[in-house]
Parts: sequence; structure tokens; C-alpha cells
Amino acid sequence: MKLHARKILPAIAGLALLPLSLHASVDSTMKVDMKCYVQDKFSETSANKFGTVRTVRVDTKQLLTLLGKQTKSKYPSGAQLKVATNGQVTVVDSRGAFVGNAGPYIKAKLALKSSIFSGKYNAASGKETSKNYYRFTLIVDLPTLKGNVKGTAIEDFKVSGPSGDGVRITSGATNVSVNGQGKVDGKTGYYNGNIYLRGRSASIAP
Amino acid sequence: MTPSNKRVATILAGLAVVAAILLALTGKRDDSVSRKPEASVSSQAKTASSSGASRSSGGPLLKSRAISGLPKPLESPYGGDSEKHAEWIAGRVEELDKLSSFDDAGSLNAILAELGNSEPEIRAAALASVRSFGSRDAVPWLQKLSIAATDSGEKKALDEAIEYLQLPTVTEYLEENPDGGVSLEQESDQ
Repeated sequence: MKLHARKILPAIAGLALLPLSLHASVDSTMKVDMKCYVQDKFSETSANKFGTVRTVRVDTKQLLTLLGKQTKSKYPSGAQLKVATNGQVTVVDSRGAFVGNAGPYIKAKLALKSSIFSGKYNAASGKETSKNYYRFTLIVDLPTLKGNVKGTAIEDFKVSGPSGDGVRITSGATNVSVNGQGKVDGKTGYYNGNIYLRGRSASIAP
Repeated sequence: MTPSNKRVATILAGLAVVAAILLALTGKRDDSVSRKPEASVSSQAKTASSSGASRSSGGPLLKSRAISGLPKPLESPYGGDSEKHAEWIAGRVEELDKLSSFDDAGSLNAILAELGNSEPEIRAAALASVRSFGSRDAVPWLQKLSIAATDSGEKKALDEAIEYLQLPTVTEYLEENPDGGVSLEQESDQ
């Protein structure tokens, strides 16, 4: 029994820290705003070297176009990429309704379990106003465009108190400055830019 | 008419005159709040650069300016420091974000118009949405605003957006370089 108590006590101590690590984020639409640098012309002799680099724009609409080609889907105008807190990426229409799964080709990883927290959370009221920092990774694996970009996500997160009719609003706005590398049409490409996540959900307060 | 009735009538007439003056004054103030004069790009930029420091707790002192040829920016009906005002801004930022997912000229114009908003947060969200919208049709508007901008930070952000939009997109690049891998045409034929 004593042995059990020794095992249980650290576990209880760990549970006391859970409010910091169990921060619940919110499913969000994702906006990608990146540049990709690809070797263009290159020649080398024993005496000289010459080269140019092409910079191309990689944004959400580009990803949706390439994803649509790959999955033979035509997404409606207003379609967006949505990232769930578990990292699953889907295509949704302008109202947020599911249109298609991006999962095999576009994935995100949100290291929320190891996030760090700044702000206030009240367990009794459920209200929270915080800034959370965690690692974010986006993986694109399309035939003509591959990339693995990472960065530190900085999230402004808010859970309101219940309104008069008991509705609680959870909202998050996250900015991730990312960089990484991949392939564009088979050529090595280096990425940098930003990824924005914006989410809002309503729930009935208990 | 008895003297007392005469006195009551005089008091009532006086009250009516005071009420009329008050109504006229209130009406004038409302007019000045709702009026959004057509402004040149330079006055819009001046507003943009100084609005952050010129707010009162009762609402924005500086009004949004319409950019010639675009719709007028929407203004918050709430006071500058109120929670409702903050909620209104958050909602508007969300709407702009959503508009950037569309491809029509109306959506682009609605986003561009908000570059003349008196709220710095909305102007920043509008610029992010212009980038996200991804249309080079926005470039001439951004160039005009950049030339007129007096705030170095806003000018830099506008210039960066212009540079970004002028880049070839990855799909354009893939279409021009079909020999490096699987081209979009080849893909669609499969």
C-alpha cells in the first residue's frame, strides 16, 4: 500500500498541473500566407557560377486548387481549410459545413499538450482570457507540392462567461510564423511565411 | 383668458421654444456623426496613421474615410472603449477573413474599402484579407494607398502586400514548368 501511495502522490501532483496542459483550443479556419524559394537557373563552370531563384506564392487558395486537382473535387467559392484541435484538416464551405477531407494530403500538428499559458482561467465560472504558446507543424504532401513547415503558435484565447441565455463563446486567434522545406515540382523549395488560425464556437454553459 | 391661464400658456410656449432649440442642436450633432465625406486617398492615409492615438472613450474622434471608387468602410455603432465595440471589431475581423475566401470583385471591394477604416485593427485585418484573397486587381489600390501613407509601418505593410501579390503563384509556376515533375495539365489528364 505504501508503495502505491508513493506512486499515486506524484500522479496527484501532476493532476494539479493539468489546467495548464489541458487548455482546450478551438477548431479553426486556417489561412496560409507563405513564400517558397526554388532554384531557377543554375550553371557552373570551373571559373564561374550563375544562378537565380524563383519566389512563388503559396496561400490557402493555391493549396485548395492543388488539393482539388488531386482529389478531383471542385470546391465552392468561399471554401476554406479547417484545422481541428487534433490536427485533422478538412475543407469546409463558407458556412463551415464539411465539403471534403484534406487529411491524406494536408496535416497539422498542434502540440497543445506542451503549451505554455499566460493569462487567467477561472474553473468556477469557466471564463478564460489567455495567450498560449505551442509548436505548430503543417505538412503538405501533394504530388507537385510538398512541404513541412513549423513555428511557434501564439494564440489569443478567450472563453466568455455565459450570456443571459446561458451561451458561452470560445474564440481563438493564432498567428504562427513558419519556415521549412519541401519540394515544388520535384525541386527543393524553402518556405517562410505565416499561418493564421481563427476559430469561434458557442456552447451552452453547464 | 385669466391671468393664471396666461402665465401657464407663456411657460408652455417657453418650454416649446427650449425643446425646439435642443432638438435642432441634437439633430445637428447626429448629422456630423453620420456624415462621411468623400475623401482623397491622402486624407484617408492621414486618418489611418493618426487614428490610433486619437481616440476618446466616447467613440472614435476620427471617422473612417471612403476610398474614392470603393464602398464606405463600416463603422462601429458603439463607444471606443466599450466591450460591445471590441466585440464589434472582432466580428468585423472575422467577416473580412471570411470574405477573403471568395473570388468575386464585390468581396474584394468590400475588403479594400476597410483599408480606409478608422480602426487600426480593422485596417490590419483588411490588409491580411487582401493578401489572402490573392488577386492582383488589388495592387493598384494598394499602390495608391502606399504613396499616400504617412505612417511608415502601414506603408511597409502595404508595400509588402504589393510585392507578395505580384509574385507568381505556385500553380502558375507549376503550369510554366511542366518538365520538373507532374504538371497540372498532365495530372488532370490522368
